[in-house]
Amino acid sequence: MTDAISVRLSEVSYAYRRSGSFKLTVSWATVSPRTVLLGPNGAGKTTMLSIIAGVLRPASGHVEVGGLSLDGGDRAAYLRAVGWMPQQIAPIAGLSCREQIAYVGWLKGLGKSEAWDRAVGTLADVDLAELADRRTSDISGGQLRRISLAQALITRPSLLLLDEPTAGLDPNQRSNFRDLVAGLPGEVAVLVSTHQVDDIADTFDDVAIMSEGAIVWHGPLTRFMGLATDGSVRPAEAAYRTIVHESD
Amino acid sequence: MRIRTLLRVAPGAWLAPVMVGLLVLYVASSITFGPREPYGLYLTARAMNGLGLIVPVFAGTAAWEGARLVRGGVWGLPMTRHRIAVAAWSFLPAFVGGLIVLVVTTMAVLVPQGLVVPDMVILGSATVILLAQVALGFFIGTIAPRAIAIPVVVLGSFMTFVLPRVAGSAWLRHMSGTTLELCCTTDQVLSPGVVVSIVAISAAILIAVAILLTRRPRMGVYPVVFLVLLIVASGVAMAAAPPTQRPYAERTGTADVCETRDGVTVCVWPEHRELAPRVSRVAAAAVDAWRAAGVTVPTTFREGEVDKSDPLTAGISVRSTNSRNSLIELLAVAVAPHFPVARDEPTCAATHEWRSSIAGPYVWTWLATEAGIDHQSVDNYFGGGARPDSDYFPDAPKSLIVPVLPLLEKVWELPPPAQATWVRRNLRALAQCDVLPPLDPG
Repeated sequence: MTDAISVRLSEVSYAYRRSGSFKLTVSWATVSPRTVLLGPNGAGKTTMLSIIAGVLRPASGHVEVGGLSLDGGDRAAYLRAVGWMPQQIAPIAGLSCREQIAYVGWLKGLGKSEAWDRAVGTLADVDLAELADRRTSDISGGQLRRISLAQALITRPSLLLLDEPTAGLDPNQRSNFRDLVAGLPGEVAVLVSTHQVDDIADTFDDVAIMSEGAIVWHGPLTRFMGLATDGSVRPAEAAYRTIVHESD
Repeated sequence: MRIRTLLRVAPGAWLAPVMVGLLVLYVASSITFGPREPYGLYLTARAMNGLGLIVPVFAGTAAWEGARLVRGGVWGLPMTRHRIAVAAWSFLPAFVGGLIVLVVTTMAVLVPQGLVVPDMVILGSATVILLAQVALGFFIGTIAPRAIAIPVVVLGSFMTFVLPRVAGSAWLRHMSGTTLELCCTTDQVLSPGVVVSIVAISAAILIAVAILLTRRPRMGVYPVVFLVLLIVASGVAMAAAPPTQRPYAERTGTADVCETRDGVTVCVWPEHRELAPRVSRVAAAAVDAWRAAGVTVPTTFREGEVDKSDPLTAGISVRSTNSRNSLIELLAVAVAPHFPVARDEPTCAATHEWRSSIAGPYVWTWLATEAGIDHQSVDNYFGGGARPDSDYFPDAPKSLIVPVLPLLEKVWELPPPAQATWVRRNLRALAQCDVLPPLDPG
């Protein structure tokens, strides 16, 4: 059983410098151990996860995870408590898988030898122990996703943010990746953004839906599935459509 | 990143051994030595001949590192390490690689000259230049595509060494550090102004890189930050080393390796220790000849600072390449200082026109001849009716600037006591600045 962790965004806003049309404005909180963030392309899912991850700095508002504040004196502890797997994965040229993961651990504040030692176990967590010494340039796209997941896990975070983790993977790889996430240590809560709704029932407890830079719906999976019209072949998709159309 | 990883993946680390070989060959073949004296400052400065190759190559590898971090999405990762720490670890191999090549190249110049200690101020200045350009190279690597960043950094860095030489602007050379290799003969030290200039400009570059890496403003702000900091640094540099200033200053202190022979003492810098016996031999013979002719001259000849109020001490600057003739010339100049060869002007020249300096070439020629210089040397200077260059004596009446040897023929026709009187009167005039010397022997 995965532990719950609180994620709280209070009046968070963000606007991209070069795009005046999009603006994110969110006040949201969840304590669910496994939450999926749905929404159409351009809804602001990646922006919101990037803000929670500490990659983007919000123009205003306050972000807290597990009682740690992003903009307070405990920023370093916050960043170690939050693992981040971005959508775009680009390993550092020339490094082996273990070196890549250890380097990211060092960036997040681990000591060099501590990061180096932890990288072995983290690779094992994502079933890539045998590729530790292989160059990241010599592995497949699916393996690269797992390296990225291992990077997010190196600091043993309480919350894992996964942005479109299975985009571009074939069905078999998607299934493997889902199993991997499902098998993560129980103390890691997961917040996943995706626009693939067909298989969320197997993995998540909570659903949040974004549209045009705001959370338009948030609730438990059972309530979400209940929004599907009776007799739907794809109930999750039907429920999602209902909410998105209502919000339009 | 672990040291072992850095050594494996960083081009700066791979290039260092290759560059050591190339640079040692380059420096060994391209340096034309002046006097081969074991003066650490001079020899270290000569080794800086390779700086214009070392810095661009390793700045280029730093650009490669910067581009690698960007391609690896590192700046987009949430990190608790400060960006400057991440950058510094990334360009560390480029910096250390360049530093190793610099030190080995310097030692390759020094070691053949004996047990000479390298000058740490010059090496430190070169290190600061290397650090600033490597950091700048790294930064450019983070903002431009690799295929553009690396050539721009290598060529740009190279041009900072080439352009000041071609343009010949003293201030530009000061600030870029290309004056280092012009330093220094044994009686000179590196001008503190040059060091201040190098440190100011390098600090401006480092601060600009640190600000831009940390704040990451819009692209348009980048040149403004560099420009503002470079203007401020240039102001500091210009104040410390005005454009006309040479890269060297007079060496202070008193030479303390002394040798006394027949009552004549010669003191030289420690680097000239081996020259002391020969110089003192020539000096003793010259002083003996001048005394025999009835002219009172100093009995101590010293490199470095001299007490100008002491009439029995004169300043000299010797070289290992000095022949007996040139040593006699140096001693004669020390006794009869004059433009443009005077090492020590009389005290009055600091506040008055040195009109009496015109006596110098005539008295000097008499003294040198009396001390046994060969006639060919005198002919080389003043044969064929040559006279002192009037440009050096703008305050002397034209009537006094006459051909040297014909005038001296008249002096030599006088009886020895009269010649001595002529010399003594003119030496006295030389020390008084605002009097016209009694050059006419009649």
